[in-house]
Parts: sequence; structure tokens; C-alpha cells
Amino acid sequence: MLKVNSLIKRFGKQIVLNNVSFEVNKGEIVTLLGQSGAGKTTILRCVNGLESFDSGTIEIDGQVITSQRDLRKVRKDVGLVFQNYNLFPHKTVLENIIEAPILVLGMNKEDAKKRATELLENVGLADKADAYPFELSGGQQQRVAIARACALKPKVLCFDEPTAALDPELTGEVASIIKRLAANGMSILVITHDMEFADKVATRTLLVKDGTVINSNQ
Amino acid sequence: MVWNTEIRGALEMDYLISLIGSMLDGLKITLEVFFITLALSLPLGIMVALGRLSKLKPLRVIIESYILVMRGTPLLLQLIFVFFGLPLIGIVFDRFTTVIIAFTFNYAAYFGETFRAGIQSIDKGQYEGAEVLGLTPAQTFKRIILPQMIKRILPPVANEVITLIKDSALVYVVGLDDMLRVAQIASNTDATLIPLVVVGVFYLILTAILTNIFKRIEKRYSYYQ
Repeated sequence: MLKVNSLIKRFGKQIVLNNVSFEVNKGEIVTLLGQSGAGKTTILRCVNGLESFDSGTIEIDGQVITSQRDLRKVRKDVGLVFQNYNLFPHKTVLENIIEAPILVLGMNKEDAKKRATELLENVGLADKADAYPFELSGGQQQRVAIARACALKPKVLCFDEPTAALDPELTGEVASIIKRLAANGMSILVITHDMEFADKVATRTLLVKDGTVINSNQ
Repeated sequence: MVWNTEIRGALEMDYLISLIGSMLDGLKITLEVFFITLALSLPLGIMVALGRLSKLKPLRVIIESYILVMRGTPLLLQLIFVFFGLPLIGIVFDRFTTVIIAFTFNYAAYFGETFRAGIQSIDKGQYEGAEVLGLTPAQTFKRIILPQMIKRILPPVANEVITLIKDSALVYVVGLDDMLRVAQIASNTDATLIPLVVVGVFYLILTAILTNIFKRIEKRYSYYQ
């Protein structure tokens, strides 16, 4: 579903990603584990078209991407839940979720609302539809961000450090949401430095060190 | 004695009423300059801000020079230049058009810088959040960045708008009779300061109204933090 092939990226002379290759199959949860500075966030940003890369390819659902620009072709097939969620503070929870389906998929407002309500039910926040992000806890904001990313029905969904801003007792909840998404056929890529969480959620964990994926164990 | 005071009181009342009557004509000019300048310079200011933030260096340089000239010279001088200077190279505008051109370009420069600061104050994550959802840059600006920017720039914009009401008094230099000009003429003719007091009250009332309007707009935007 997601296939990264020999990805290379430089910032000036420094090589940030050195021949990164890995794949995430349909319904699989792959975690990229590594210390900060190892390059795992850069991998995620390349996969989401937020960062350019110098060579290599990214394959999403059979479409081969060779540049950052190229990624627009598969934009709605890949979603991202940011570390700090990046919700739109001036819009309600519901408005945050329906924005992209209406503007990008051309959905009408009623259908988009119906779908958003279902997505909110899935993450247990149906009662917060009309709240603003600042009225929610961090964990709730994260679940809104997940619902928002899912509204475009992506085939690949990425998470950037999903446990970084959560209380330890909340990580189990995110893990179960992620597992449920995978069970429904989504391919999940999780960036984390939280080994315990990786153990809990992953079908496969890859280690990232010095800009390459060095290890994989089933 | 009592009779005498009453006559004088009545005369003064009559004087005030006729004064306010003629001042209303001046008020009309003041308000026309104010509203037309605002209607033109606010949208132009957004374009100035976007040009200033453009990736195209030549465009950026042009906008920066324009801002430097507009903020670096007195508005009074700019008015004189448009009205008396441009005709020397064959470009002639009537009085009112002159005023609108000079005011609009001057205020668009100030608004542009305020808007630019507002746009730059929005977190990069907002752009990226919109980007990964597939919003186009235009959609992102209009629906995500602009509404958040407006909330942040309301206080400085209120400052500039209030300044504009008072700056409108500069139109006398091209021979337009705004309310301050009318008051000055009356003051000279009748050898009294009363017209100037009255015009001061007019400005105060206008500013109070504007302050109130901005307070309401700020309140409307206070639904989120």
C-alpha cells in the first residue's frame, strides 16, 4: 500500500535520509522507532508531501511519486495526524472535519456533516461536535484530528509522535483507535520514540538510525 | 437684565444651529473620504501584504519601496504631489479623486504592513494542516489564515481607522471643505472659538462610534482563543 524506495534527502551537505526503504501493507501498523534527529519525522514529512526529497520514490496505492509536487496526485489517499494536531482554532470540531470533504471532495454539506458525525462517534466525541478545539483536552483534540484525517478516507494514515503530548493512561485509548482503523483496512505508519507504545500498537517495528531504516523484525 | 440674557441665549442657540448646519456639509466630505478610502485601501492592503510576502523578489522589492515612500513621507506632501505635481507630467485629477488616490495608497501601505504581521503570526502548522487535507493555497488563505489573521489585527487596524478620521482633515490643502475647514472659516469670520469646539465634539463622537464598532467586532471574534 505504501512503499518507500531508496529515499535520499540532503539539507545542504548533510545527508538526512540515506537510502530509506520500507513498506506498509494493507491493514498493517508499522512503527518507525528512533531517537530524535534520526530522521523519522523527515520520512513522515516526505511521505506527506511536506518536504522535498532528492531521489528515490514513494509508492502509494500503486501510484509512484518521484517528487514533492507529484504527491498532490495522491493527496487524499494519505493522511497525517500531527504531533500537535494543528486543528483550526476558529472552527468547531464539526467544521474542522467537514472542511476538506466539502472543499476537496466536493461533498455537499449535509453528507459531509453526516459522515463527520459518524467519525466523531467512532472516536467517542459525538457530543463535542459544536465545541471549539480550545475547549477540548489534548487527548480529545487528538481524536478530532484523527477523525478529520479520516474524513478523506485515506488509504494510508500517518501519526507523528501520537503519545508525545498524552498522559500515559491515554495511550491505550489511542492504540485501540489506531488498531481499529487498521482492522478496517487502513495502512498505518506511526513515528514514535515510545518503545512501549510501539510494542502495544505495531504489527511491525522498524528502527531508524542516522537516516536509514536499519532493522526490521516481524 | 433677565430679558437681555434670554435674548443673548437665544441668539447663541441660533448661531450654534446654523453652525452645525454648515458643518454637516463638511461632515459629508469627511465621511466620504473616510468610507471610500477604507473600502479601497483594506483590500489593497491585503494585496500589499501578499506582495510583500511573495516569493518573487522583484515584486517584493517594488512593494517594499512603495511602503517606504508611503510611510516615509507626510500624507500632506503626498496630497500636494498628486494634486500639483502630477499635472506637470500631464496627469490631472479633480480634487476629490486626488484625495482618494493619495489616501488609498497611503493607508494601503500601513494596512499592508499590519496584515503582513498578522499573516506571519499564524503558526506554520495551520498551513501544513490545510495542506495535508488537500486544500489549495487560495482556499487555505481564505478559509484558514485570513479569519485567524483578522482576529489578531483588529486592535492595530482600529488604531489606523481612527487615525484616518482625523487625517481626513488634510484635504483642505487641495481646497476641499471638510468639517475642520468649515469650522476654521467660521471661527475666523465670526472671531470666536466656538466652531472649533463644536468640530472637536464632532470628531470625538465619530471616534466614539468607531471605538464601539471595533469593540463589537472584537467581541464577535472572541468565541475562540
